[in-house]
Amino acid sequence: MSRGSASRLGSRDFEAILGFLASTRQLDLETPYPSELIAHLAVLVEGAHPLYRENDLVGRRSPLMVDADGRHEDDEDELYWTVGPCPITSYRSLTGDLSAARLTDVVAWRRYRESPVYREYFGPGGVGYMLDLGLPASPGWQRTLLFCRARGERDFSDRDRDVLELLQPHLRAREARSALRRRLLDEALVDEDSSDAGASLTLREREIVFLAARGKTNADIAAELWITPGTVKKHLENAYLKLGVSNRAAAASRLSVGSHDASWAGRAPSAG
Amino acid sequence: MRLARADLEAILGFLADVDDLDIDEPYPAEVLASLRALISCDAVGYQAADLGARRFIEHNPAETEEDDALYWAVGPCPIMDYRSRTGDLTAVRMSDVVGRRRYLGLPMYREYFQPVGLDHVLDLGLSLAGQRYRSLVLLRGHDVGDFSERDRVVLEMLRPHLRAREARADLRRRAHDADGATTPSSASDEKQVSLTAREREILHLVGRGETNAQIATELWITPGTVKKHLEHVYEKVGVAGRAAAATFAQERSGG
Repeated sequence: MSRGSASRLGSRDFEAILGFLASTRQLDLETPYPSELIAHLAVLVEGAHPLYRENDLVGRRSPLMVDADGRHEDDEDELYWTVGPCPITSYRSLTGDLSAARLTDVVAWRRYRESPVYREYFGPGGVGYMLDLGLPASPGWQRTLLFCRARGERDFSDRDRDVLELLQPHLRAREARSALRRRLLDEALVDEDSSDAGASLTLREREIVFLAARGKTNADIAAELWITPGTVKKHLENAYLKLGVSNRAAAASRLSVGSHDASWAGRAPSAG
Repeated sequence: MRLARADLEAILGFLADVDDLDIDEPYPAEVLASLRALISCDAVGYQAADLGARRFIEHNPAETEEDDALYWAVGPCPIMDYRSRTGDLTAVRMSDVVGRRRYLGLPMYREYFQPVGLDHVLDLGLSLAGQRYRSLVLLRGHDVGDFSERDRVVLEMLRPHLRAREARADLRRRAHDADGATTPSSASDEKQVSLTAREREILHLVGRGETNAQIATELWITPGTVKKHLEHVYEKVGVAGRAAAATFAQERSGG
């Protein structure tokens, strides 16, 4: 989120990220986030316990967590979802923002200390500070890389947050590659290429949605394409229907996610 | 579009081939050669152009100055027009953006492509920031057929990997820079705007297509306040309305 206060990363930080990329490139691609990768994350952000986590926002549970030791089971998951979720999870589901964020970026510390999720879940577990990187997921799901530090230690620095944020494009590429591998292994998956939201639009529809996304009115678009405003409207309605949205702002956002990140976004995460 | 196993394997093969190539340059000749093996074509290039000033900033392989001058005298090509008009970066063919008859009548075709025997074009938009457009261009001669939908989809599927490659090259460059003392200037920083946390939050919700009334309910504020925040956002970001703001929000979070 706030990169306004962008910290100055040194060459050591960039080297550390490049080192992380080099040592994780050869890791097995059957899942994007095996425990070996999580172990490498621990080197990147010191003194923290990293975790890959999938949240089912509708079922209110976290069916998959992976830490450096392997699959992580949380006996208290039911409690977490009863008193929680944590403020970062709420922030992400409210805004859709996936950028790296600390707990202290999204909630006032005092307010957090008084919240039930702290008093009944994190507090007794000794967890104090959190830093979290959002990963793309299908609707109703959340996937993140979560780093935790004990209460007695210090908060995550701007440097930690910025380093984590710089991993985004690489993690997305890894996910895309892993998805390719899984598709090869699992023939059944080859059929449902639903990952590109814009794939079913005609080029004319796509063009009009993109023009609308640039803030142009139907009249502007009609004049530009030498068609009537009525035709523009009809094309847009068809595009909304195909994309499952109800207005131009939503259509624009669906399409830009679909087209720019077609191959890694939107796979159901339950397979892990 | 359904890709065959062979296509998926070819993409993975391409990625493995380029993994270990020198990363100081995102698109050295070896990457372009591997790309040609993935999608057969007669020529392939990386280009960065300033559409406003009508000139190339960079291309690989290099072109002669005469060729560049000719290009802008008869161009830009319909694909660049399409990019700057719509902002859409998806992989497209020439035949997707202009009718065959019209294309064959264009000076761009008759004076630039035809004399050297080139005809069909497939282009993957990498970025469009202001007037600066970067892309990978694949070309085929008249005697070969147009690029197929398979070719288009395969090229589009390379996007996250190419983006990661560019990001890695950027990291390398920044690591070499004098201990990172200079201000970071990666592509994602190009559109940094100083929004307040509340403005960012509202912008994200707009990006998801929510109405002012919905946002107001979620954030426990009045629709009037949402409207006011949004007006500030439009002004800071420099856009005309919420659809454009939504696009901006998407670029920020997707970027």
